[in-house]
Amino acid sequence: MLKKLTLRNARRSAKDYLIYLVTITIISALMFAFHGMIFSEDMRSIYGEFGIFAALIGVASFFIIIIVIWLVHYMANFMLQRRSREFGTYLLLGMKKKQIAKIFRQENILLGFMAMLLGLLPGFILQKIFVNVFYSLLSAEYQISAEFSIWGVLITAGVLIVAYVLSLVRVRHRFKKMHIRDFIYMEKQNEQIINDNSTWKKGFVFIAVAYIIFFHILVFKSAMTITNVWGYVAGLAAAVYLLYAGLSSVFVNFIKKKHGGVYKGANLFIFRQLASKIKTMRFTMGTLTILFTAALLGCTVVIMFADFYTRQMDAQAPFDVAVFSDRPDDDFSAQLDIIREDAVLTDYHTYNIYENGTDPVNQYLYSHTDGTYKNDTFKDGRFGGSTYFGSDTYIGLTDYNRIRSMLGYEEAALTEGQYILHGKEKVTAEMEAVAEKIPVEAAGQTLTCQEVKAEPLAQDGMNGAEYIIVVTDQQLANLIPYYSVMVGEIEGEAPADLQTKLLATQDFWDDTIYEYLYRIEVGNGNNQILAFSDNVMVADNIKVEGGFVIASMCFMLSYLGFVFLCAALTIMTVQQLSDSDKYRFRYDILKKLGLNRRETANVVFKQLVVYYLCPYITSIVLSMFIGLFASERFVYYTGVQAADFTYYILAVLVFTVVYAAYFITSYVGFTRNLE
Amino acid sequence: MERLIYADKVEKYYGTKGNVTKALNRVEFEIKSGEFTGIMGASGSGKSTLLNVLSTIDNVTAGHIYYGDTDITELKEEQLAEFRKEKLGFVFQDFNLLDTLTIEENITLAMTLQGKGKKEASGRVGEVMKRLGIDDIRGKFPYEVSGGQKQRCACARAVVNHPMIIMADEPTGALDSKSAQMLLDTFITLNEEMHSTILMVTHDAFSASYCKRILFLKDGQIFHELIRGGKSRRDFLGQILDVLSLTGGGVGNA
Repeated sequence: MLKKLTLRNARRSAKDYLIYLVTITIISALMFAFHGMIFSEDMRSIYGEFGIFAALIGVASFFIIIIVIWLVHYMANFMLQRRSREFGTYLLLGMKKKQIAKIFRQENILLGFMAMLLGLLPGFILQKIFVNVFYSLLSAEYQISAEFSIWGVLITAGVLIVAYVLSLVRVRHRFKKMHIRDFIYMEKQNEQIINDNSTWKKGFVFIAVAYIIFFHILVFKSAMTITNVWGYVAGLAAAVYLLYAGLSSVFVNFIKKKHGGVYKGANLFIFRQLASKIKTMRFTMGTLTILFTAALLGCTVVIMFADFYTRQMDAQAPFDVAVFSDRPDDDFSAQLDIIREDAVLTDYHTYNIYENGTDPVNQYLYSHTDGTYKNDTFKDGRFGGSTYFGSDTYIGLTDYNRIRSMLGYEEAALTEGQYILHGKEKVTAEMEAVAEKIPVEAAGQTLTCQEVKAEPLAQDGMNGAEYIIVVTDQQLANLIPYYSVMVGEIEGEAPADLQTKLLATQDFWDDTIYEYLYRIEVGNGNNQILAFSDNVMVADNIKVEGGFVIASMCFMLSYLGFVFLCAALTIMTVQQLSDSDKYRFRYDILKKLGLNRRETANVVFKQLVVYYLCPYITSIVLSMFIGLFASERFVYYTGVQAADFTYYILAVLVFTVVYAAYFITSYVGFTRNLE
Repeated sequence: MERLIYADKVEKYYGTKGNVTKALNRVEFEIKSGEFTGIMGASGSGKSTLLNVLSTIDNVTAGHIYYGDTDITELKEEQLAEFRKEKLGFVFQDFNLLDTLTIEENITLAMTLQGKGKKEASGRVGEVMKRLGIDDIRGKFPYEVSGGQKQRCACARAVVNHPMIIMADEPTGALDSKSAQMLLDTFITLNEEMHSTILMVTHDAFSASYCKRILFLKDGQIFHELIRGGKSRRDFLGQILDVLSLTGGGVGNA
């Protein structure tokens, strides 16, 4: 009999809290999809070092457990309140609290199980879609396969069970604490409406807004350090809560001031309704706003990375193959043999990069650029990698024009006594400063800068680090060969393991101190966000590797952001829908006062819009400035020149679509409940 | 008749230090086995509180309540649950039926919770349902039947375990007059044919006139008692109305 009761209760809850069930279903479908991908052969075959994806999804799963715990815990408490009378009846019938807690827990677990089952098929389909997206991100061809991993299902089930058990662990405690009388009369307590007429708390809003403005000023001035930023962020969270603590008073104040707008139509009703709602919900609203802000920022970062990836690759690996050697006399015969074994080399060029024994340009860059590092570790007289080379790097005009032609750039001309400064696009400003301030010397003669060039040229340790100085061949004769480089073009696509095979020919890696060690002081360039500099760069291989990392990040962050959003919106929506049940009589009165159906719907619409807009607008305002700042920094560090706004706008668009879906559900459900 | 319940100077206070409401003020009375007792009083007179403390839903601030020799104010929570399950039956104004169970299942649950087997339960449930005239709606869910039928189901659930006493809190409050009359007739059946002891809280003089004895509560104290004796129901009703007019007529229930 109790089993039947549990089952029927779960079925009713599924109907009453459909939106909750749908959300848990969406979450479990996503979990199935991602966990399935971890075990997917399709995914393994696209990239050897697949572990990074599994690790990222693992991290995401950790956060998702927390979100699910929060959602389930909130919903369980909510149901407990709404059904207190029913539980009181169980007690009257002589059930023990332990028994009731067990029934309630089982019901919730049953709901979760139902959602999990429902999520299986969509999860499977999503997995196929995601793998497809992954393949297309990496420009690989995907043959849809029907592979299905039981491990993915088991892990998802495990994660969900852990989340459910943890979130329901306190249910029994809650039951234990309550007295039978509380159960029977709790419903009546719920209906007490907190209508506070005091307005002094409206000051909170000003304090909160003042802090938020202060915070943003700090952000714009870059006045925060990595150590004190957490304090400021905690303050920001506190400000959000404070904002909602005061917002209700603002509404009350507005009503009391008797502004004209208050007496238009049903506005008086709407304002009072909102004041009361926000007052009871202030903590939840604050939490939701913070989550939304986090989700929005997450989205911004995702879109930034995705965009970064598509733009960055060509700039970093313009040649099909490029190999570095720290010996100036390397003829690259070993590497050429390997390449010829597996691929058709259509063109190649080996050449030297030169030095002059001095480093004024590097010195200047070290002191004028953020985030540079100089590695001191050396062993057996060998150096670790730094941002720039030990000496300034030079290339002869002939070699320069030869590699330019390989990339399809037009030839450069150089007048005697002058030089060309070729740097990465993002350091153009610094290059111009160097050209102006730093005397560049070759063979005792001071040269003047003819021009600054910025086409992609593999400048992460191949053709210099960040920049190279181009001089005429006559001047080159007086410089010292520094190291050698080989660049080549391959017909068609490079074999997947070429990079690995070529790396194996080199002996830079030191297993004992986990560091690349070179005979000269090597510069790796200044890439702070996802650098792919290596001593061998096979463009096709690197694109897969780097793309894989970035695509994995994107997937993980959007996964998290989406789950965040759905969980938070479910709570808002369930709240509203239960209100429509509980306060139906208020709308009945409005109807009796002469409001027709359309007008009632209008009142509901206005009320919901304001309620939903509060966290929406606050989180957009909060994330906008931080997001813009992050975009600006991102552009600064990566040199990817995109319009700063686009990343953020796209994130807001995604956010808005999901938000709107839940809003519409809420509105439709609300008006239907009133009829 | 033997004494079933004895309330010994029961007090119940609500509120905090500065603002105490005496809901029950040294209430003392007894109920004998087989009685059909009514408790009447104006809104705020303490009648629901009295029923709550008698039925273990609420605890007393001072005083004792004896069921036979057992002092329920001394029982621990687990013991109280057991006590409720075995000794008490409840009928509420708003039915308190479980909406996910059918009429029959609602009644059966009360029995299976006591560990009674399927065979015993189904036999007894069938018998009670027939007796209360809800046999034909056994397979329906609460939302599919009328208020009167729901309340009779609640009655069936209350009596199915042969409780020591049935506690009814405004049982006719949510019913139309015809259903109310049918329910009260059911109570008479329970009382006279099945020998159930019934304690009913009501503010409605018509409902009260079905009782054999009425306690009138005012400001947390019993201020009057009426016994029907050999009087007709109509006469008894007149008598009740006379008492109520003494209290100033404030019998509205909040």
